[in-house]
Amino acid sequence: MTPEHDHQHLPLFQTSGLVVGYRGHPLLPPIDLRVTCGQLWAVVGLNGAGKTTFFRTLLGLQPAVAGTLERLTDPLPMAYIPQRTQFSPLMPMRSWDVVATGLERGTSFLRPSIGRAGRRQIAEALERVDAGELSSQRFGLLSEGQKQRVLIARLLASRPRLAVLDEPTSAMDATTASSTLELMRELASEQDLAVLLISHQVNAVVHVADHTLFLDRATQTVVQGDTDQVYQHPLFNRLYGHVHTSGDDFPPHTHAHAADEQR
Amino acid sequence: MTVATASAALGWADFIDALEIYADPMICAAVAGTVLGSLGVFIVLRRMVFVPLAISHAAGFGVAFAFFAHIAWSATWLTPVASGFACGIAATLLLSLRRLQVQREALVGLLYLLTAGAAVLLGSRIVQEAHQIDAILFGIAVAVSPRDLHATVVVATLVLATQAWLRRGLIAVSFDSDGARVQGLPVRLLEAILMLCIGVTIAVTTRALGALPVFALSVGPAFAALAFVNRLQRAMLLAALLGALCGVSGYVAAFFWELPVGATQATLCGGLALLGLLRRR
Repeated sequence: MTPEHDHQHLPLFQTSGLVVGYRGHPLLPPIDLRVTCGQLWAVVGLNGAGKTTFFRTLLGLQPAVAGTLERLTDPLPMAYIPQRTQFSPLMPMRSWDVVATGLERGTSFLRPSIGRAGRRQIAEALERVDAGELSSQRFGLLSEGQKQRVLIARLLASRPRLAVLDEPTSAMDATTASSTLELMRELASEQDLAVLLISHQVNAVVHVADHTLFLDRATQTVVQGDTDQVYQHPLFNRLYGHVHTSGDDFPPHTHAHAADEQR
Repeated sequence: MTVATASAALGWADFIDALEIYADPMICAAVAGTVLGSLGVFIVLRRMVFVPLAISHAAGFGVAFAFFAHIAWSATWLTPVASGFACGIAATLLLSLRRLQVQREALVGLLYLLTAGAAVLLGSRIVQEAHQIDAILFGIAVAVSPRDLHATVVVATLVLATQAWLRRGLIAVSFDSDGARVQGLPVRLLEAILMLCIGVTIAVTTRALGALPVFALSVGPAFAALAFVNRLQRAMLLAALLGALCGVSGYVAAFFWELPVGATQATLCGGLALLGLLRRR
């Protein structure tokens, strides 16, 4: 997992007029987004705002209602951590086995063994997230914070360019949530990884996300841009109250790239 | 033919003597228990425990229909094996369809009710073959034809080999199918292969063992194994072993205590599932 800083700011994908929804019914106005290596995007919004639908559409897990999603680098290895409710508690897997599933790409599972390199990749990924001691423990019995660390190790083992995490901090206390978000910030910088994550903890995520996408289905609003800017949007403030951002300490001219409100 | 040879004086020496009769059915039950137990791990993990019940009863209906067609319409070309296999596979395909606007659970219930009820109705119209219908539904028969035994062994070998070959892909998909799709794994193909393995195995073993024991063997051993080990591959091995033991034990119990084979196998599997439940608590 050597840092590859030559990829910094490499554009990964962009959406043009992407409309997400179900069975042809749009949930939100069109979304235009361009994501590059090393960025950490927070996707925020109330429950039912369409955040997970947006993620699933980005990842190709469900079709878009309209618009295009263009991959600007090929191949674009992606990794996804879905919501925690999707993992069966019955599954008898050690943390090591969970991380090993991250190694699989395409039909790699047809090879008889993951090999020495694969085992090293797993060990390194676990160590990177300080989960080495969890490797032989049953995944289903770990705390939520420990599970997320193992899942992030799985994500690292798959060596993605784009990491998408759906509410990784939903079941964590404030301290664990902050350290998990901080870890993602570190990984995004260290590995030139583009990270998109959904979080309801707007007070915590503001400290790690350089960009934010704010979705509100009720008012059909999509706001995106620098986190400091988005957090000052009137609708955002009405829903979440005023959240202190680093931008509060800076003069207004630092907000050169204004948040791009659509509708 | 039923196992009605037991008496208080019977011992293991008698049982060994009787193996000439029971060897084929016991081998068949052991092989079927092995493959159903191993597949059962995925059946339980993917929360589709009643799918085998619906498929096995569909296969049972297919066999009953062949008997009925033979008597009512002299359709000798329709063999019970082929008819049971066709119905089992048809049920598997129906349950695999993604575009139906019905939940799988509802479809499983509907399929079970229709096929189990229809099999009993057909049985009432073919009195001379009615015991065969009971055998197919509840597994009270001892005799296993060489053709059923060979079919079971061939299918079990192919399915176990497929599972071993695809195990890492199946594990990744069972743990997190969305994550696996994002990583480019052929999730739908793997799921289709798994369903095909389940369908073919159940369709073939139902003819040999009966619907009830097949359902029990595909759920009970796996449920217990999942509770007792920490690794999926070990769970598959343990479930296969427990399945084989339950399959064989049905015949042992039948020999010594005059118990019906299929019901004994089902009860043993149920006992294992209960153990698993207690262990989980």
